Amino acid sequence: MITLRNILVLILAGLGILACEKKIDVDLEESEAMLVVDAWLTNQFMEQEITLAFTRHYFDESQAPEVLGADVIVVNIDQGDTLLFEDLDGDGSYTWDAPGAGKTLGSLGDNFLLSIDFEGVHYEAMADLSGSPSIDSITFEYEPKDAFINEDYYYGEFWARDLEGVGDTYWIKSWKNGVYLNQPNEMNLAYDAAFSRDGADAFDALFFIQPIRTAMNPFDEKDGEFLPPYSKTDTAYVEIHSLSEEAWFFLMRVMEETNVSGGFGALFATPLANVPTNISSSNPEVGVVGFFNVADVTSKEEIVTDATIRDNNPE
Amino acid sequence: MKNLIAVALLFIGLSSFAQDKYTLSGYVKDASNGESLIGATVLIKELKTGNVTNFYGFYSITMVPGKYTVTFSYVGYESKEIAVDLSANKRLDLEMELESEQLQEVVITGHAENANVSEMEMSTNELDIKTINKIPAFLGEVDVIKSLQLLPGVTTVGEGASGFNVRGGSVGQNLVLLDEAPVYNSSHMFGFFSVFNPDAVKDVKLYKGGTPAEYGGRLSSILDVRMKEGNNKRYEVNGGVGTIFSRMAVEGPIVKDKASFILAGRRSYIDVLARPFLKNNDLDGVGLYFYDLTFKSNYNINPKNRIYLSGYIGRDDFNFDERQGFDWGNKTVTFRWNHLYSDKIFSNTTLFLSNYDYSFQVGEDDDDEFRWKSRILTYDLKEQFTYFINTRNELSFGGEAILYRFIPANVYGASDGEGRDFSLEERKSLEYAAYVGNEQKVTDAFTVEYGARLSGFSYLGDGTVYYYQEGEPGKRKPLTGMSQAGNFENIKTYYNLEPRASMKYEFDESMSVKASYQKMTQYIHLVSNTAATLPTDVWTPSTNNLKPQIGHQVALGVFKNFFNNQFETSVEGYYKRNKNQVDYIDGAELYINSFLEGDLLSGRGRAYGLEFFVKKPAGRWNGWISYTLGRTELQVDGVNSNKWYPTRYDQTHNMKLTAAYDVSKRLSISSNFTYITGTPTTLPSYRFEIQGITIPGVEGRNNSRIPDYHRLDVSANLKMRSYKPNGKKKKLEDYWVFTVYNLYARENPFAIYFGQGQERLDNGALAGTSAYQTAILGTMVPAVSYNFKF
Repeated sequence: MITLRNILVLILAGLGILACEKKIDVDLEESEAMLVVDAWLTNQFMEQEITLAFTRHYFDESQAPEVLGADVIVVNIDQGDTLLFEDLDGDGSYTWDAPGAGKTLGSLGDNFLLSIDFEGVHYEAMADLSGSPSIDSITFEYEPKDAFINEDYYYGEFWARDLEGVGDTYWIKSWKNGVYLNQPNEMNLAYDAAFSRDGADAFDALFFIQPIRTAMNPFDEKDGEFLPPYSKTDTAYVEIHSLSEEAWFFLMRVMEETNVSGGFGALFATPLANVPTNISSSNPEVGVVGFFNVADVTSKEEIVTDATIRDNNPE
Repeated sequence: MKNLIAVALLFIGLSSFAQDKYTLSGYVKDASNGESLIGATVLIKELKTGNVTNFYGFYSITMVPGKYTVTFSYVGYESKEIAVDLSANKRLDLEMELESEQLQEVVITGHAENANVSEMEMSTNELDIKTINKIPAFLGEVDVIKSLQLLPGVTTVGEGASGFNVRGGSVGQNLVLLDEAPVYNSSHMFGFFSVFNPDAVKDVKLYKGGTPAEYGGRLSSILDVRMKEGNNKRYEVNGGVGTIFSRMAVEGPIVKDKASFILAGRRSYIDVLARPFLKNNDLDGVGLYFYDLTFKSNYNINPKNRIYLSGYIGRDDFNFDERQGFDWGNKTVTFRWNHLYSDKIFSNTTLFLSNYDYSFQVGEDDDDEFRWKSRILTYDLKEQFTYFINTRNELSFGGEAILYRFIPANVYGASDGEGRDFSLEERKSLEYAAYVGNEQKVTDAFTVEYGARLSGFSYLGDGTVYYYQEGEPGKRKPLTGMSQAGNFENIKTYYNLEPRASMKYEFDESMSVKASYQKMTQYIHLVSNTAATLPTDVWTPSTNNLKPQIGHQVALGVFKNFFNNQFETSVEGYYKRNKNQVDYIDGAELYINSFLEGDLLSGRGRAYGLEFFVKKPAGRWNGWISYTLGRTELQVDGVNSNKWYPTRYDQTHNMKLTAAYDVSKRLSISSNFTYITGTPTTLPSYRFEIQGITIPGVEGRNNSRIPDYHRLDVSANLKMRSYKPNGKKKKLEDYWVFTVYNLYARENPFAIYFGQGQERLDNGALAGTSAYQTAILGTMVPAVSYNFKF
């Protein structure tokens, strides 16, 4: 349970005065570079991109070395359609132009094969296109200033109902005024309407549960003060991307490995471990990391106005 | 079982039946308060043999008729010599007086002055509460478990981590008993304080190896905490006002010399102190407190029968507001009956109930909420007999039956007014054991203890039984089928015969060599994959998929005292091998998961080490040095390329120094110093980006170490004047304790972690990657407490 862990951390944050944290230098081992496949496609009528790169030393903050000259295709197995992804700019970004082709990748329920050939090794992965529910609305709740936020503010909430059937998984992405919320602790995943596969049948086809609905709110700090998540005239934009169950598990693992906190949170840390991949390599000696997913995307945009504000404090 | 007893009896030999013999037996107690003395030595001078009082203060010696000089001794008490003319069975109950010339309380529990050499036990450590009281404690709160961590072979993963690790075992491999009832979570406030109220604790004994056959159920250690019985002479009130807790204990006779009680309570009061500051803002619903209440009473029905009733309730409560919060706690009730079937046969019957539960609720209103309760209930009936056959043989035998009810998750969730229950099924299991052991004095110098415990475990219905197949190592196991079991239907049974053996050879009164072997079986498992264990960690039974953990240990030790027992030294080496240790797949879901077993891995463990111990038990200067050189490793298919890797609590060097000095009759100072090799951690070696997220990549598990840990604590104990200006002794005894934890404010690392920080990146920007070191208590922590007794 992610929420439980976060709450435990929150409890102990009260003791944080005693804990301390500092940046340190650590010598890390060098390791052999592996192929990185970043293949998250959508069924949207826009250019689709697969990025190929190499892994690099953990402390190397420069651009990842690009992978050039690979043959990349995506096959829509159900429609017998082969789509060629090309690295037109020679920067490791392999694209397929949906508008240029006059179509999208396929339809809900289609199965896709990703095939990459590079330096004599064949890599492949499978994904299926499942649906995302439409977003009914985005609302904002008025909150008077409190101990954490020094001015009155609005708390955003998006309303969508999980699709019928157990095992639907989603990645919910949020933007505030056009800025994508990409902090490690802002990743928002759902398994049916809740968090995990257990109890999923209980949460099937409900509205997404509360912490998921409100995870669209950014909590930014400035000079040690929290800024309001939303104020009047701000714009909120939410997208729901459908995931394969494997991709959902991959992102859960990504969240565990990247949303790390110090202080008392260290008590609840699990050992650092590799995230899984669904890409297989024809040569077991040659490692590969990354993931292939094809998403259906639904979205909604709303501005904080009197029409979208729900007043929770009638007094 | 019958066969076992027969074999054991055969061993004991028949020679002892040749002549008429009589038995000298009785109870040894403290004269000031009637508390029974555990481990007092009763020595027959003429025979150079004797007996040690058991947990209830009872001894029994059977000899040929004659005139004997019997010496009773116990460190810190005046030895007593009594002439006995044994011409019939004789009951001799004795009350011993505290030594008068003492400056301060006894430092280290003693028994006989050379008990460490002369007693059978090895790999055990005992602390009495007076010792524990003297050790500088975090925030001045005297702590049983933290004190144990100063002993050889006992470690912790770090500050704030609950529980303790013994000889390379995990926290969940310790059986913590409070008056024989298991305590599943021994910490308040995560791991900062332990649940035992020092005012109610009498004796703490830790078995790290050479475990007697009467104990079982965990792989690494048994921590046996015994509560005080309560002063049966007069009323006494102990209390204290500390930084975290306020404490109060009342004890006294119900019927003088026959029945007594003790009632002790503690409560933290951060919330009380913080309340004025939280008023008038949104935090006034926030509550954070913990308390415990300990009760015990006993009644001496007659010289042959004594009963005890003890209980414990402890709770930690964290509330964010009226509806949201998190709480956990233990409750135990123990009823015991000591009965003497004869002067030679002592029996104890124990009946207990233990409950551990936690609950967690979030959600601001009924429309959107989440409530979760988890509970483990334990019912136990235990029967123990000791047969003091003769001066050469002491036979113990008995049995135990434990019924567990695991209720992992009663869960209710609601989203926008639609509520759903998704509770997990209850699990029942029955654990049972029968044991027999004999301590046999082969010659005056050579003693052996041998025995066996036959344990069994049945995983019972009702509920769904899951079947898995072995999948790819290290990955979630595929489910192959499910079936339904009826109520109390036996789903899977395990049996294990656990042989135990120890031997001691005494070269002379100041030196001995001891060796032991034990097999232990653990049928219930603590499921935890975090650095420190959490109050929410789930205990789960062995099932058709999850096998019991089995451990073997051999230990060898040399014990030598110098300068007439002024210095005690020992060196012990141990080697352990375990199988079916629990590990986890990456991304295991340990909470509210009916398919939990599919996420568990099974591995092998090994641990070995050398423990050095030097102590000066008495005198103005007293204290000890403990040093452990150790290693503990796991091998799990699918983890670390199937190779052995060190556990999170592997510490190569672990050195502790505790010293106390009595400056005057009123002032004593003490300090302890700790030096520990940094614990293993996993470092990343490469990075890559997926959808703009920077992900670390690793090669291996626990492939490096965090920096070493060291810390110095000091404390001073100042007694207030005990005489009034007119020269009369005051009824009130009071003292102040001043403590400084982490005197030189070292930022001891608990962990190193890697990440990009919590910053929002511009579109397309690359995250920086850094290493951070976290210290849980990175500063000096001073504290003061006031304590009283009247």
